[in-house]
Amino acid sequence: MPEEHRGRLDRAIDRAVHEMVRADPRPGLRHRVEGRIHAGPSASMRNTRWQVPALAAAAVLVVVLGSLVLLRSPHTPEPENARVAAVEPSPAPSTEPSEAPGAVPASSPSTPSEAPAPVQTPRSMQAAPRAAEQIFGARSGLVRAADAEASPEIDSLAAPDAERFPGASFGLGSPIEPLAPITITPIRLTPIVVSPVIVNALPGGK
Amino acid sequence: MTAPQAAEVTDLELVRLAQAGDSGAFGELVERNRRAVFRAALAAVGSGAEADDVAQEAFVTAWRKLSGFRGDSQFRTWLLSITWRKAIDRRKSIGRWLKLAASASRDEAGDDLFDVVDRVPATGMTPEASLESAELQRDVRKLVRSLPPKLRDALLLAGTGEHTYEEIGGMLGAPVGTVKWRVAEARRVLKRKLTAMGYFDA
Repeated sequence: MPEEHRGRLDRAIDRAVHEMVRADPRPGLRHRVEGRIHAGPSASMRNTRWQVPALAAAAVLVVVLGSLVLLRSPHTPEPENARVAAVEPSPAPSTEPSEAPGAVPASSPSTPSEAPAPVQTPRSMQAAPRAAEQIFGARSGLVRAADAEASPEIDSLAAPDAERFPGASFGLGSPIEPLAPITITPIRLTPIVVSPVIVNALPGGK
Repeated sequence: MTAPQAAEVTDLELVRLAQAGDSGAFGELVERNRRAVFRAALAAVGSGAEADDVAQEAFVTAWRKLSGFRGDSQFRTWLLSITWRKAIDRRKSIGRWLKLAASASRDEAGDDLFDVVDRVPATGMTPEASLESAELQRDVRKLVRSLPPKLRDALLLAGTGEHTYEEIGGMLGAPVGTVKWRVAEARRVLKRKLTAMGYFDA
């Protein structure tokens, strides 16, 4: 490129840049600034006063909406599923009470503080065996109730699960069988048939 | 404080007076630095009206924060750094970009984005040369606006005639050598693009 052309472009750039930024502020900038200073923070903070309540309201709205979403999430079916999930592994650890006898009194079924807590997170699924103990109590005690004297408390706890998931009642009735889920049907019928007989016999006989 | 008195005192003395509550002393500081502040803001936001707003905000902010100024650096450097932060905030705002888009469309029709400028009269030129020069100027301005922000900011701040390289470096947060390189690189890019547009043949 010839040198005179470079000089021409340089001059054009200089001139364009000067036109873009070599300007003066409107007259009275000092007075405008002093006016804003003397007006105090009330005038200059007008926007801030506007924004703080708006931001606070927005934050509250977000919290409320978040709470509603959390509350409306399907919590109620989850404990049922958790119960099912808690019952599922019950046949496998069915031999545990005999190995750890101290665990039997610790899991009494009627303790209110040990009532099945609402299970919300996968962490509860990890505690499924413990949930089974909380719902049905120690397996040895449940076996006694199912065999001889029907306890209304136990029935009320076991019946819904038995209707929804036959394996639950089966697991309660046969703690000795580790492969109980395979033979669900015959054993499930046993407590259903026996229970009304016992209930009728108690008031009439004694 | 009267004008002759104000002319005799330094910026630092005016700052001390202003820190003691003398708003007149701060007004004198505004008067002394208004052009440098305004042009720095103009280099960032590209509009005279916006730059005027930014300049006001910068001075008001400086007044509020004046008690925290210890005098470790020059007041002007401190003020310009406030100005630049305000200007960049303004430039980043959504509304600002919407206005830029509208201004750019106006510029396509022949208007300027930088609306507060003192036009350099084109004297002693033939109508053809004047027309060609106007076209070149328009293209150069368009190319300057299309530069990367780092190059554009350095080029425009250096072009204000109000700021030293040290002050520009303080505003941009870059060493003086980097600022000088950016200015030179911006000019190289502009010339290369202008050459590609055919201006070297004129």
